[in-house]
Amino acid sequence: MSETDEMSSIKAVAMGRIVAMRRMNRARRLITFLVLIAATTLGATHTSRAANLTGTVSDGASREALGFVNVVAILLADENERRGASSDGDGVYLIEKLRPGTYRVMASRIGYETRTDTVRVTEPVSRFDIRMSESALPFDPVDVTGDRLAKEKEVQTGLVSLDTEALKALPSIGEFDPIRSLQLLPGVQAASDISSGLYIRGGGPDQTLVLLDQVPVYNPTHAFGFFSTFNGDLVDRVKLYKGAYPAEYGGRLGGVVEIQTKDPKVDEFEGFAGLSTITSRVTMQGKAGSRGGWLFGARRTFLEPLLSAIRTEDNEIPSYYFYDLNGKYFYESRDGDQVTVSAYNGRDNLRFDLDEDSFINLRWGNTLLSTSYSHIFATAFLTNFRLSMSEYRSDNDVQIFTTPFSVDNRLFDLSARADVTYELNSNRRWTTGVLASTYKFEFKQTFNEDEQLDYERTPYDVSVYIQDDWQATETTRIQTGLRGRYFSDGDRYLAEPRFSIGQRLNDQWRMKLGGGLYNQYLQLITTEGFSAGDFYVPIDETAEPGQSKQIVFGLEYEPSDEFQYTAEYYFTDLANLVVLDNRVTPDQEEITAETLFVTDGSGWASGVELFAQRRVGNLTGWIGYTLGWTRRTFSELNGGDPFPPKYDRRNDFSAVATWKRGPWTYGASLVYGTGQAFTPATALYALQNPTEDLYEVFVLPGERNSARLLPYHRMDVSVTRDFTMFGKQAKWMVQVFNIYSRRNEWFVQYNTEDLSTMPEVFKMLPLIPSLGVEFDF
Amino acid sequence: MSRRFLSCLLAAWLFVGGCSADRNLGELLVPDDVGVLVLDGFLVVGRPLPAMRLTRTANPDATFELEQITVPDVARFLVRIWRDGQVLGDPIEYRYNPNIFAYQPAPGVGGVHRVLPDTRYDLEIVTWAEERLTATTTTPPAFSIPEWVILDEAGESTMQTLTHYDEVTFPDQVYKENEVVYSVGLLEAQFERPDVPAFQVGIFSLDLDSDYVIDPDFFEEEDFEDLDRIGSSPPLAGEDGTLRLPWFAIYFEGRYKVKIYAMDQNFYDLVRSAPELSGGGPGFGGQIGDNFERPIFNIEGGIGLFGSAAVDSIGFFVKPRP
Repeated sequence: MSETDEMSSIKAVAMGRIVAMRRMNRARRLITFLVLIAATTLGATHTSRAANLTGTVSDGASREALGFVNVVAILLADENERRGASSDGDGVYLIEKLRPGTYRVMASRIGYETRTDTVRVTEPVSRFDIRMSESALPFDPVDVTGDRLAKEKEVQTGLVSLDTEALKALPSIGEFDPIRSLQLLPGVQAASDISSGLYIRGGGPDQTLVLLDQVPVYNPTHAFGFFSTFNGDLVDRVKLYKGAYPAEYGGRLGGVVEIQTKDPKVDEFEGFAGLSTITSRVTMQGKAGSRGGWLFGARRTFLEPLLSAIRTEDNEIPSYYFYDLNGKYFYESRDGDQVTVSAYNGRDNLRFDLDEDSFINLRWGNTLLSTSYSHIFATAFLTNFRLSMSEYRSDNDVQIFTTPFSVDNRLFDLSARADVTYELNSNRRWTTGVLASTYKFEFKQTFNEDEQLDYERTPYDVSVYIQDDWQATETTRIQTGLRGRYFSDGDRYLAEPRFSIGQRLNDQWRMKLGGGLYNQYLQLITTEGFSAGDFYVPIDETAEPGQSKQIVFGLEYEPSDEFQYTAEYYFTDLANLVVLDNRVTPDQEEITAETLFVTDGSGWASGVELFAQRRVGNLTGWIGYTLGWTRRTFSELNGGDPFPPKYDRRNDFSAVATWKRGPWTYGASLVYGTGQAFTPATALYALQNPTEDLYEVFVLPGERNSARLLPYHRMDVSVTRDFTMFGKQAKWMVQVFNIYSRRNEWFVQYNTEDLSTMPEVFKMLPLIPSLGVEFDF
Repeated sequence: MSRRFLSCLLAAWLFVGGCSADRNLGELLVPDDVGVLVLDGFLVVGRPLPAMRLTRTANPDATFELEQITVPDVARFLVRIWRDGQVLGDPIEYRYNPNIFAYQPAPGVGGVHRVLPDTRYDLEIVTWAEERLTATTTTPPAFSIPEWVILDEAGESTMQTLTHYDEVTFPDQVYKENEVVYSVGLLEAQFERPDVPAFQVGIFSLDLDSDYVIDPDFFEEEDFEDLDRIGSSPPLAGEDGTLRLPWFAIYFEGRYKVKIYAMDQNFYDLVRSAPELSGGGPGFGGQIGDNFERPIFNIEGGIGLFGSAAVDSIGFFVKPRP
C-alpha cells in the first residue's frame, strides 16, 4: 500500500468514524424527536389528521426558553397558505393543520432578531427547534407582530408585561427601578415621592403580592421606600396583574407583581457595571460546567463619605447605606431538565449617634433562597417544583438619655410548590399546583429593659389550584380556575373561583371580562408615607380574613401594529377589612387581630382606565388616565360613615415618551393626580388635661379624609447616549427627577401646642439630578 | 421629529410649571364643627364631686377666647348616681357659677359627695335651645401602690425602696427620704392590678427654678426651653401590675411628684385617641399616617370628657449624677 493509499485509508476510517458518530448523534436526536413527536401527535390527533409543526424556541446565547415568540409558517408553494402560533412560557410552540410541504418559518419577538428558516413539514408531525439572537434595537418594528399575537393569546384583564428594555428607557432617579416604573401605569400610584409601595386600583400596598422569581418579598423597599429591593440590571421581565388575577396566584385582595430575573448565560463570561450618583452596581455571569451558568449581581450605596463630609456639630447627619446581593445558578441537562438555585440578600442600615447616651439604629432587609427543578415529560406535560424561603426582619434600637427601646420583628416563610401543566392540544391547557407554606411571625418590643411584648405565631397554609385555559373558538378564549386554601390560624377553608374570557371581535377589536374571589390572611402594618420597620401579622381566629370580589371589563383596539388602545372598567367589593388601631396602648402584652386592628370594615373601589400606547418607531410611549373612586366603612371610624382612604384618587393621568435617535435616547414622563385625601382641622375646643391638671386648647379633627392636598404633578426627563468603551457597549445618562421642581404636598401638620401658628405643609422632593454610566466588561 | 418632541416637552413644562404648589394655609382650617357643646367633667375616686365646665367649639381660624365659648346657663344639668341597678337618692343638680357649673350640697344629706369607687354616674344636660347632652362613667375601684422601688440596670434586683405616703396627707418629709440619683437604676411601681382598661402616669417637677440634670450633646439652647416640668404618659396596660418610669421623662433636679391614674373607659378612650392629651406628637393630616382623627368622646350630643379615675402617687428628690 502506497503512502497515498495509506493516508486515504486512514482518512476513510476517520471519515467513517465521523460519519458513524454523526449517525449516532442523529439517531439520538431522532429518538428524542420521535418521543416529542409521538407526544405531540397524541395531543394533535384529537383535532386533526393534517401535518403539525412543533418545537421549542430558546435564546441562542443563554438557551433560556422563550415565551411569546410568534412563529409563522408560510407554504412556499402558496404564500396564502400560512398559519401561526405563539410559544408558551416554556418556549414550546405548536402549529396545527398544515398541508405537507416546504415552509418558510418566521419567528419574531420583541428584543430579538427575526429569524427565518426553511422547513420541510411532513405528516403527521415535524419538529423544528428555533434559536433566537438578541436584537441591538429594543423596538424592532417586526417584533410587534409577535408581541401582538402573544397578547392576543392572553385573556387576562389588567395584565401588563414589560421587559427590561422598555422599563430601562423610562426616566428614573439614578437607576432604573422596576417597581417605581410601574407607578407610571394607569391605575397604579405611589403614596409619595419616597414610596415604592404600589397602590393599585384603590387598594393598599399590602393588597398586592410581590414575587421575585416566584418567591414572595415581604418588604420590597430600600431607603424608606425610595428604591425597591430589585436591582434593575438583573430583571428580565416585570409582570403586573392589576386585578382579577388567575388561580395560580393567591393571598392578596388586589394584584400581583411578578419580577423575573435573568437566567444566566451559559456560553461566555459577561460583565456589566453601573455607577450613578447614588449607587454602584456590578453584574457578572458566565458558564458553569458544560450545561450550566451562573449570575451574580451586587448593588450598594456609597453615600457614607458624602454624609460624613457634610456632618457637623450643628448639623447631625445620620450614617446610612443599603446593599443587595443576587445570585443565580442554572443547569440544563441533556434531557431538558432544568435546575435553578437563586439567592437574594439585602439590608438597610441607618445609624444616628445623638450623643454618648442617645442613638438611633435601624436595620432591616430581606433574604430569599429558592431552588427549582423543572422536567418535561413530553412537550405537552411540564412539571416544576420549587422549595423556597423568604425572610424579612427589622431590628430597631433607640436609646434616649440612657433609656433603651427596641422593636424587632421577623417574618419567615418556608414554602414548597409544585406546578403541572398539561397541554391537551394547542387549544387547551390544564394547569394545577399545590403550595404549602409555613410562617413564623416574631415581634419583640422592650422598653427600659422591660420586655413589653414577645409575640410569636407559627401558622401554616396549604393552597391547591386548578386552571383551564381553553381556546373555545377561533375568536374566544376562556380561562377558568379554582383555588382552595386552608389556613391554620382560625382553622379556615376557603374556595376562590376565578375566570377570564377574551373575545376577539375582529382583527382590531378585542373584548375581555375577568373576575374572581380573593382572600387575604396577612396584614401589613406600615406607615403610608414611607416604608421602614413594616411588619406583617396574620389574621388569626379573632377576626375574619379580608375578602374581595372583583369584576373587570376591558376593550382593546389595535388599528395597526403601531398603536394600541385599551379601556378597562373595574369594580371591587371589599369585606372584612382591617386598619391598624392607632389607639392601642404601647405596652399591651397580647397581640391578636382584634386588639391590633379596627376590624369588620367594608368598602369598594371602582373606576375606568384608559390607555393609549405607541409601541414601535423611534418615538414610543403611552398616555394613561384613570377615573376612580374608593370608599371604606368601619363602625368604629368616622362615626360609622363611609370615607375615602388616603389613596382615593379621582383623576390620575400619566404620559411617557421615549425617543431614540442614533446613539441618543431621550425620555420624559409626566404624572398628574388628584391630591390625596386627608383629615382637616374643623374646630378648637378646650379641656382640662386630667393628668397634668392644665387647661388646654385642642384642635378637633373633622370627618376622616374629607379634604384634599393640592393636585400632584411631576415631570421627569432623561438623556442617554450609547457609546463604546474598549470595544464594549457602554452608555452614560443624565436624569432629572421633578424637572420643574414642583414641591408637591406630602402631609399637613397641625400645631396642637401653639394654636397661634398656622398649619404647616410638608413638601415632597424638589428637582433631583443624577448622573450615571453603565458599561459591559 | 426632534423639534416636535422638544416642543411638546417645553409646552408640558410651561403648562405644569405654571401651577404653584403654594396655598393659603387658612384653607387647611375648615370651620365645619364650630358651636358643638363641649363638656369637661372628671371624677376622682374619694374626692368631692367636681365642678364641670360646659363650652362650645370655636372657629379653628380665630383667636381662642374662653369667655366667648362658655355656655352661660342651661335648662337642666343633672348627675344621677347608680348603685345595684337603682338610682341612689335624688339627682344632683348643678348650677351655673360664673364660667363653671357646680353643685350645692343639699343640707342634711351628709355634706359634700365624695366620688364612690365602682359606681355608675349619669350626666344629663339640656340647653335652653333644647340641645341634649348625655354621658355615663363607671368609676374604677379604689387604687393604691404599695411598692415603689429602684431596680438595678438589668431590672432584676431592688436597689432602693421608696417611702410611700397616703395620697391625701402627702408630707414634704417624703422628698428627703426618697432621694434618687438621676438615671441610676430603674424606677418601678408595683401594685395589685385593679380591673381597669389602663393607667396614665403624670409627672410633676415641683421646684420651678431647679437646674437641668440632662445635658445631651444634640440639644440646642432653645431645646432646653421646650422642656416641660409637667408631663404625662400614653395610656399603659401595666398588665403584670408594674409600671416603669423612663428617665427621659425627667429633665430637672429637685422634688418630683409622680401620679398614676387607674382610668375608667371614657378617660382611657379619650387619652388613647387624642395623643396630645398624653404628651404625644402633633396632629398629622395627609400621608404621614392616620393618627389625626377625631378622638373617642363617649358623649351623646357633644364632645369632651365625662370620665373618672382612681389615683395614687409618690414623691422623690432627684439629684444630678456625681
